[in-house]
Amino acid sequence: MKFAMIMGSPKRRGSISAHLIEEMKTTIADKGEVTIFNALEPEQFEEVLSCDRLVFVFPLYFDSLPSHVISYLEQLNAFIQEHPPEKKPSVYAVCNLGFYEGYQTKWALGRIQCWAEAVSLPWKAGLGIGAGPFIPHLPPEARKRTDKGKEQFLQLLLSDATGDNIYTEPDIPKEMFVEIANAQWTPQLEANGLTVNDVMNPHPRQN
Amino acid sequence: MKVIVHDLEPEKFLQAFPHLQNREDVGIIAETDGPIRNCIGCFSCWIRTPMQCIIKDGYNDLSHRFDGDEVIVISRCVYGGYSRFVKNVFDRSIGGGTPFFEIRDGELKHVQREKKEGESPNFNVYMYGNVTDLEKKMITGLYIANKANMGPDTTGELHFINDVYEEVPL
Repeated sequence: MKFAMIMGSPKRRGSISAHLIEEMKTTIADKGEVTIFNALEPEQFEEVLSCDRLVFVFPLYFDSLPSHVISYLEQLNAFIQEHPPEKKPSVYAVCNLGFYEGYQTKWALGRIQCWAEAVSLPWKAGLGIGAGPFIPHLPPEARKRTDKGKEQFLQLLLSDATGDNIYTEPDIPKEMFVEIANAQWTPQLEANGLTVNDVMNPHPRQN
Repeated sequence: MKVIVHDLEPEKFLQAFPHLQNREDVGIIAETDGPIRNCIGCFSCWIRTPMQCIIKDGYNDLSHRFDGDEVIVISRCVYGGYSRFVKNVFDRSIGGGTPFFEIRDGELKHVQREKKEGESPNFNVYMYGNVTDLEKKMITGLYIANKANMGPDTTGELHFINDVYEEVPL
């Protein structure tokens, strides 16, 4: 069994998508071979399409896919039209977002489904992870629903099954999450010599 | 200020709509300054240089430019959403909002700047090209989500069109 994990975050460091890929890779290591590709480098398409499963893993950008992932999908589509693959790999997607509600990834996961439809590959399921960047820092009791969602998704992936998208939220009240999330920006602003006021009332336009 | 974002050939667009040229009350965002580079997710436009992107490719001021009381987006439909360039304009303009969260209508959104309270835009989107039923569903959901993120009282409509030059009222 060959899995292609297509990394859709542009970050070189601190990427939650990269973290999720590593987690999945570790968990399914004994089930098959996992190869990681990067959507910033639209190449090795033949190798991608030689896999049995394609898993697109990306952050939510403004309610949807990061733009470079759209570009990658278009180029992979063009390659498929020119070189119809022998296999029909199944398509899965994992999207994480900073907001609490995993369901806000619905329209982004839907774009991968639309792509699968366009290239005639079988769409299987998506996973939308709410509070994605915060999850690794939360205690285990606050990650229960997230961990369960990941487990359900991996079951679908390993059995090549189709399912409804899975959306997760952290096991803490939404209001508490907002407080935690907002508080983490202050030290980052201070490290740059800025205050909350500088963000709320930025300097005039500079080109 | 009317802001138009489009992914059409820039020269052809201006030839079709010459009255939009050199207007102080109209801003046009198209891929006119060479290829736009993708957002790198560094959040500098939030926490280092608010509203300014650190990628100096001619599109670093989109947080300012993609802001008007009337916003018109014209995009080819690509897999149930905006095309690469149009989506990049959204991605590269997140500095127009803030990194802070609030709960609005029961779900998380970004806090908007104080000066924008009650100044949400009239936001109209025109999608052209072939659209499947699944894509129509996804684009409609995306448009509603975009609207909610652009401000609580954002108005406007989503349109599926065949011919930009005949059907977009500019």
